[in-house]
Amino acid sequence: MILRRMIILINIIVISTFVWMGQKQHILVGEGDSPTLPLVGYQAPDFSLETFDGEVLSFYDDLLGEPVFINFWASWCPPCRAEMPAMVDVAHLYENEINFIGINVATQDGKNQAVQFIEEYQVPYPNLIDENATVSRNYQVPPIPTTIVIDQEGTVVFRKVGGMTKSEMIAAVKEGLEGKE
Amino acid sequence: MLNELEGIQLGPIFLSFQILSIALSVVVAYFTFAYCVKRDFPQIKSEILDKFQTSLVIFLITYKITPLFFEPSLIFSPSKLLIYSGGPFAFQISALVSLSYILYHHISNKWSLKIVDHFAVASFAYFIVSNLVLKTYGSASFYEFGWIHNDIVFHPLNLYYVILFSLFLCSSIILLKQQKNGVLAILLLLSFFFIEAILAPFTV
Repeated sequence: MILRRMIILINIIVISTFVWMGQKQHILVGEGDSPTLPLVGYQAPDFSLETFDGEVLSFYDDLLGEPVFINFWASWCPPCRAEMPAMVDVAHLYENEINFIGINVATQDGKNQAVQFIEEYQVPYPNLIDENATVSRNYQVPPIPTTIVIDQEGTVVFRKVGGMTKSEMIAAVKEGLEGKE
Repeated sequence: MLNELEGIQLGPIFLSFQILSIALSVVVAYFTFAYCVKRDFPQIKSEILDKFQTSLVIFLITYKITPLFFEPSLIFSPSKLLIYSGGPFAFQISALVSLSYILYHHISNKWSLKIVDHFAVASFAYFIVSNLVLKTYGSASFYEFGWIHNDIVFHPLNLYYVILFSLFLCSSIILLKQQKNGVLAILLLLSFFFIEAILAPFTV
């Protein structure tokens, strides 16, 4: 009997604590900005990289305000090759609605091979060179391919490691267009 | 605790901590379930455990071939099928197929509702272990404790889950010792939704 009462008491204390903390959290949410973390639900980290054409593209300055579909790739990686034709199709399909960006993880790739890859698949969107893998590290992308979709508010809404089918890409694009719910 | 985005590089294969945590949690949940079944149903334990093992395999196979449902043309490029897995609704479809298999055998073999209770306990064991292994960031916190990233403190959401899942599991088992079969499962299911509701303010 004492054990049962003790358990009920502990439950009441723990639940009350979490409810109280939750109430205080609501106040904080109203005051602060969303923190930056490369995970779904958080503000995407900023980056600024050069494209293969020599143009510098910055996430916060050039891309924020519209949904962005980012694909980290390397030319030697079989899943990157497998998904690329579908990604090119989807990029054409949604070219006016979402910005497609490729980020070549240059520490794992050669520049000539990367250029050859872009030409081979006729990739229509800008591809950036992550020379020192700083963006990959910021976005915590050790395995490739990794795809991240960011909505127009700059919030990460989708993240997947590994090859994606066309239907998966379309679903991810739609998440980016709908934004954080 | 491990970061879900990190992992172990084994040559060309990257084993993410997320996959490892799921695997470990499934193993713990299975042994929890097996222990309960062996204790309460020693005569039919192997039959029940066989069906659950099969349902797990069904889940994995369904999850792996889900891309084929949405793009049947993939059948002509088997090498691509090796690369792809999951996708939209893959988890839901796989869970539905594997639970339907278990449900069919549960009804046709007239198994006791106590097995559902054991399944619910095993599910809670799964949630406890996976949250114990993998770090989950909650929303930004004004407390000094939590997971820190770039000098920002985040609510240690997985620890909150561990506390609540453990508490509700222990409480339910102790308080509902003499109850009818199936009551524990219903209470644990309700507890799951209650925990989700309590922790909603800490999620992003």
